[in-house]
Amino acid sequence: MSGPSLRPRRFAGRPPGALPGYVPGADIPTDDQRASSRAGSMWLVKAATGVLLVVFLGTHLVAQHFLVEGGLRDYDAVVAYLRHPVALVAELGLLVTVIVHAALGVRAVLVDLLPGERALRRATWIIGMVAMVSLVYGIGLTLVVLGG
Amino acid sequence: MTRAGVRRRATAWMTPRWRDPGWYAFVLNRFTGLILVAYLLAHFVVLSRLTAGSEGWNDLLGLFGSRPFLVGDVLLVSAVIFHGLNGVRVILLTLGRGTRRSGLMFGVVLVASAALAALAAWGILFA
Repeated sequence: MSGPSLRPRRFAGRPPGALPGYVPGADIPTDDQRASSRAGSMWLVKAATGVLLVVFLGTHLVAQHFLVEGGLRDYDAVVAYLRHPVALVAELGLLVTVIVHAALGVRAVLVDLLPGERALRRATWIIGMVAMVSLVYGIGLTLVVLGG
Repeated sequence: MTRAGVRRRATAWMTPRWRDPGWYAFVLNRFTGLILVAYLLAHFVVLSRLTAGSEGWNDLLGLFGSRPFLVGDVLLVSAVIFHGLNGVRVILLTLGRGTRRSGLMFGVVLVASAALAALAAWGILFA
């Protein structure tokens, strides 16, 4: 069945002889052991925060924008919203989950590029620091707004 | 891994030929995810204006309520909707559900995303 075809197909299908699931670039040597030991270790956290984000981000978008006249809360409305305990919990929950989810996502992109061990460690450290700073900043900002 | 290897791996992602539907889903998920990360950081920066009180914050509302920003909001909400729906698909596949129908699920995700995004666009731009 296989063999040289008379009219080679361009830009469609797969290369001759390739199986379904063929991936361009898959011939590039990979460190399978490292990839398998690291890539999946945080999937459950990502899935859990992802599900929580549907709830928290959905609440955020609807309450902060879609239900608001003009789509944007002015300062007094922002403060009034945050004074509501349920809203405060939802916003802080959103803050934590979105930061964790984003940090894991950015790291996953880097892991797939398979940089050297040292580069990946450094990148992970930077991502962690940005995440921590964002978290502290977000909580601090909430407290300032609530106090002011 | 050499630098050339990293570069080849990065460009190999961008080859749209010879792909299965799952690859398009993966790339769209990555693309929207990175956009959302960039927006998240910008959002944090903008929110710092809340510390300036009502003058500092309310002055921004006119800008963010303008047409170009609302169009940007539509694109952003569309990215959120796709990323979220595809995320549900990824979770199902990770749990081993519907692995034989992942392409069909991707189609459902695309259609549902388009419908919800159109609804959001109507709400943001015209309602």
